[in-house]
Amino acid sequence: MGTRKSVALQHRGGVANLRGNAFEEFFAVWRVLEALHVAHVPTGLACQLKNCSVDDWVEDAPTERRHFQLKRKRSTRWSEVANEFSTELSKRRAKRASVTLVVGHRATAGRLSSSKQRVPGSEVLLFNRSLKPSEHWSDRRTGAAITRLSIGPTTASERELVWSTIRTAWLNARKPGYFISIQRVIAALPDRTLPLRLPWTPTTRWRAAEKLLRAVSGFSFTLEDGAFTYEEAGGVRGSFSCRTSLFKEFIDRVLKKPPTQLADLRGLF
Amino acid sequence: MKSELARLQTAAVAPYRSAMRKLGASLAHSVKLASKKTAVVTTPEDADYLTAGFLEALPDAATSVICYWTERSSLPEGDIATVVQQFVDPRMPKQVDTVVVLKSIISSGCIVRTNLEKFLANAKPRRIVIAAPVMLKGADVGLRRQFPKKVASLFEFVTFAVDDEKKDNVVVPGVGGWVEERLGLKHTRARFMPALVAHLATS
Repeated sequence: MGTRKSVALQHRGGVANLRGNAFEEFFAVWRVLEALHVAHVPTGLACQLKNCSVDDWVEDAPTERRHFQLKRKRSTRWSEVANEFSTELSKRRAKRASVTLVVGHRATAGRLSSSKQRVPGSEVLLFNRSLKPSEHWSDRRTGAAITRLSIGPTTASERELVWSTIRTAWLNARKPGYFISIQRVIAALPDRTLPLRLPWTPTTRWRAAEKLLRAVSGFSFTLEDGAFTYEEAGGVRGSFSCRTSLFKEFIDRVLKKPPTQLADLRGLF
Repeated sequence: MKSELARLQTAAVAPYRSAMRKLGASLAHSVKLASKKTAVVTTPEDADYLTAGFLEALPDAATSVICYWTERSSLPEGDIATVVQQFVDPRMPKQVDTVVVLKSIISSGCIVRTNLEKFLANAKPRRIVIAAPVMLKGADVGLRRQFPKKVASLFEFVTFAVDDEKKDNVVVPGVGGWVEERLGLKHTRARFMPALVAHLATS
């Protein structure tokens, strides 16, 4: 059987592949979420890359291509992936390539990391987070990042929304076998549901509006990572993404009818 | 109560608002608040009618008001609401004994869930009352499921009617359709400021 045919069969998968789909999808969304933290770096993301034996997840950066193979079962052995890993590592490329085996159990990760059969140059990554989005945000790294995305601690509902919008965006945007940019995933996210903070370049209109807003007594605001967060002296506070049409409308309204006091601002949101 | 609920089905804007106020007052009598350290969590559309009626009927005028503006999304997993703006009464004590989540109708419970989650991030009340003139059958069970057992065990549901039918995502007979529309708030901005909140924010 030719390599191409073998890879095609591998992509088609069997029953075990279906069982692993949830794990793979969860990992994909997780990586998309992580890539959003460095959204200014263009990153290509792909699954089932053509003629690629380590195809579960591939990340393409300007200088490096990272391949991930996912194995959730406890009994995973190096012998199951050794051929594919060696093939992938031996391919000549302009870019540096790395191959990572992603496992779902701590004991498996430990066993595989110290194994003598480990494919030289490969890595082992433990991915044992809960498959329930509302639970797994206790993860220190992403949990902290998600807290930063909102006007306060994020609720389980908000976290589920972020998770679900990214998952839907990824599922809609991806095409097996092709790289898509992280920006395409971001673009697919609905604006009005975005509590996410993403890079935003201040416009001249915003700079003009900013001066007017600074002059309003009792109104304070910050603009950080593309999120406009405001607080009124009376206890009202809120936030919205600078990428939304709501923010553009807000700037238009401020410039059209410059607010002089707090009460004027209330009609602008 | 039954007459007020029946009035909601056909009333024009002004009588509808009045009926909501009265229902708010009736809920206040049913809830029987004992603690002075009470917070009422409301939505902008309910603030000036249901919540205002509720607050007027309370003997203690010091009840704190919290208002959350939410945006709702329908996802394959169910409806989810996110808080986009909030008003927290500056007079709210650090320790709140009782929190009352007020809503004109509880259907999927996503707004109640989000509002309560937001509130509980900063408070540990001993009593959690979820009050609405009308609820959809099973909404209470659904809400309990979405919170840890410790929190869900504190829930008390207060309602006057339980409906079990939904048409086009609207509970029937419910409160006579979409509350914002019936209250005459349909064309208002997403972050409109209820008079109750504006008054509390400036006083």
